Formats: sequence, structure tokens, C-alpha cells
Amino acid sequence: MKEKRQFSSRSLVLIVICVAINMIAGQMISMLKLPLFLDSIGTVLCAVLAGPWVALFTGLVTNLLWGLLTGPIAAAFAPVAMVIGCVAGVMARAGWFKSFGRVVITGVVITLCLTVVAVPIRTYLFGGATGSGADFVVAYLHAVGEGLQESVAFTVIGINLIDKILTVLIVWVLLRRMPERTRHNFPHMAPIR
Amino acid sequence: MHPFTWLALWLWYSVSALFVPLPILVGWCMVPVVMMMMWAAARWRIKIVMVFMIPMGIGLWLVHSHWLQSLFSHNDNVSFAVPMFAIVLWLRLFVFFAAAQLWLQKVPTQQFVAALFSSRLPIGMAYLCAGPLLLKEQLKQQLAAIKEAQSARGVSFDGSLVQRLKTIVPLLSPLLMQSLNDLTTRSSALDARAFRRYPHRTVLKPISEYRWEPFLRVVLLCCLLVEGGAFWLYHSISIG
Repeated sequence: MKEKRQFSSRSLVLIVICVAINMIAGQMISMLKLPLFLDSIGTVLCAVLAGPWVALFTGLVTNLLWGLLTGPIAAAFAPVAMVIGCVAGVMARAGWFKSFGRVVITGVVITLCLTVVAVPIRTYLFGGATGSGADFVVAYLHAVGEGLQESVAFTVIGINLIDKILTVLIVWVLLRRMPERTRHNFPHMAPIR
Repeated sequence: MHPFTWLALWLWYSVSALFVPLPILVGWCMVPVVMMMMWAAARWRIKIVMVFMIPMGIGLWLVHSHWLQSLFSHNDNVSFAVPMFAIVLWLRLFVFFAAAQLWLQKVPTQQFVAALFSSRLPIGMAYLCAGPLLLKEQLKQQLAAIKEAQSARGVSFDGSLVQRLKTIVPLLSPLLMQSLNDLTTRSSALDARAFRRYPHRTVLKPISEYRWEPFLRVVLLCCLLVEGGAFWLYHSISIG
């Protein structure tokens, strides 16, 4: 009989924990009054600990739940969160979490990949605006002659570059501090040294 | 009514906004606002809608009006007009967001979690959806406790931007280690209780629903399909 492939209970619990970490990141950011999102810490963590597929689901569940709790806008950006998880997982598996320099490059790659997905969503679903201060940048670039897609792309890269590099660096530091005993619980963890 | 019926109603109402013409769309987005005004418990949510939708409107106006362009080109005829498609887009987003606030007010998180667990969703899927909502509150309390403890150790959370950035790791590190150490316990507990051995779990207190509610949900989803089909057909004919 063909056995149905499914996530192990450990992977399910890891997804649940990482989604919850993504969700409380917002509270932490407002606590520290930081001009960042850092809402993908759990997703990237999951990517390093369990791989791209599990991280992809973590991103999807995070945004769908945010959509149900706060409004449908977050749910529209679920593909972006999925891409973040998937790319972080692939990079981690390929050994791009081994040193500081590599981790920074991983952050840049994640930003570029998420831009490819975020730009059409932001342009076609929301007309290029999101109701944040970034709309001024989009409007400015659009007014000086850039196309709407290009203006949105430049803005998305500008906003996300620092955020994603910091997210990846924070996860890297946290994982390097992880006790050996805890690390043994994750046999499929990507190399971080 | 069952939370899923409310969800289907929200979905129908919001997605229908994509198909209605502009004059009806204006009335369509007033309905949730009027309902929120009439429903005392939901009145505070009007502020949330306004806090999101007014900046969104300003953003759309900035991006799509030619005001900035005429300002940069030193044109005397400064235009404040905004294209019709941006107005329609704003109204549609308004419907989605305002109707979602009504749904959120009507269905508290606890009730939604209970509905997920007692639904016909695969139990693993239901756990994935409900688990983070249950865990989030615990982690919030732990985060507050960690912040207090780190403050007592001398970590400053009110310094410069760089100092505040440096406090992220002391805040997150204990929280993460604790959660990851719990992981084995939690997953063992699930396996020990034969989690996913049977496709559905026994529900102690099922969410009550009227007999006609599953039928209503199907009707609402069919309505969406019909509306979408009619809309597509109308546009194909008018373009052709």
C-alpha cells in the first residue's frame, strides 16, 4: 500500500513554534520602537532547522493566520512569506549560513527573490500603494519618470534589504548560541559553522 | 452561527465587490461601516478601518495622481485629479478590510480555534492553524517576563537605535531556546496521544450550527462562481 507522505509531529510542532515567533516579532518591534518588520525570524529559523519545504509552510501559515486575525492584507502577501522560507532553506542547505559574509549575501538573495513576488502583488492588487511612508518613495520615483513596477521594485528592495539581512543575521547568531544538546534535536539542521 | 458561515459570508461580500459597478460599490462599502456604527461592540473597529484606509487612499492618490509630476515639471496647471481605477481599487480594498473587521468582531479567536479543531479539516492542518494562536499568548507572556529579567540584569531597552537593535538577541535567545527545548516534549505528547492516527478527533464541545448553514456556505460559494462567470462573460462580450 502506498504510504501517504506527511510532516512528522516534530516538524508540525516546529512550524507552530516558528509561526508564533513570527507573530510575536511585531510585539517585540513595538516594544523596542524599531523601524523594522523582522516578521520572518521564525520562517528563516525554520528554514535552517528543517529545510525549505517546512519553512515554506511556515511562511504560508503565518500570513494566512495574520490575515484571519488582522485583516485580509497580510494574506495577500502569503506568497512572499513562502518565497522567503523557500529561498532561506535552499541557501541554508547549500551552506550559505556558515560565515558572516555568506549570511549577509543570503539576506541580499532573499530580498531579491521576494521582490520578484512582492512587486506584482503590490502593483496589481494594491495599485503600488500600501498606506505606509514608502508610498512617498514610489510616488516620487513614478513622478520622475520610472514605471510603476520599477518604482515599486526599488522601494521594496530599499525597505526589505536591511530588514532581511538583519533577520538572517539574528537567526544565525541565535543558532550559533544554541546549546549542543538542543542542536542534537535537529539532525537535518543546515551547517552554521 | 458557525464561524465558517461568517467566514463564507465575508468572502462572498468581499469578493462580490470585484464584480459590482461603481455606483453600487459606493453603497457596498457603506454597509459594513453602517453596521459597525450600529453595533456598539464593533464601533471601535471603525477607527482601525480609517487608520488603514485613509493612508492607503493618500498613497494611491500620491502614486496615481499627476500632482507630484506637475510639481516637478513646474507646470502651472497643477492636477489633483486621480484616475477612476484608483478610486475603484480603494473602494474595493475598503470593502475587503471593513467587512473583515466585522468578521473579526463576530468571531473571537477562541471560537475560531474551536471551530477549526471540530471541523472536517485534516487534524494536522487544524493543528497548524490553531496551534500558533494558542502558543502566541504564552510566548507573549514569556517575552514580557524575559524583558523584565533582562532589564534587572542591566540591559537597556531605551538607548540609541543600535543599542535597541543589540537587545533583540538577549530578548529572543531565552525565548527561542525554551521553545525549542519544549519541542521534543510537545511532539512526544502528540505522538503519545496517537495524533493523526484517526482522521478526526473526538470533539468534547462541538460548535453548534443550524441545519441550513452548510447549505448556505455552498450557496454563497456558488454565488461567487456565478457572479465571476457573469462578470467575465459581460466583459468578453463588451470587448468583443
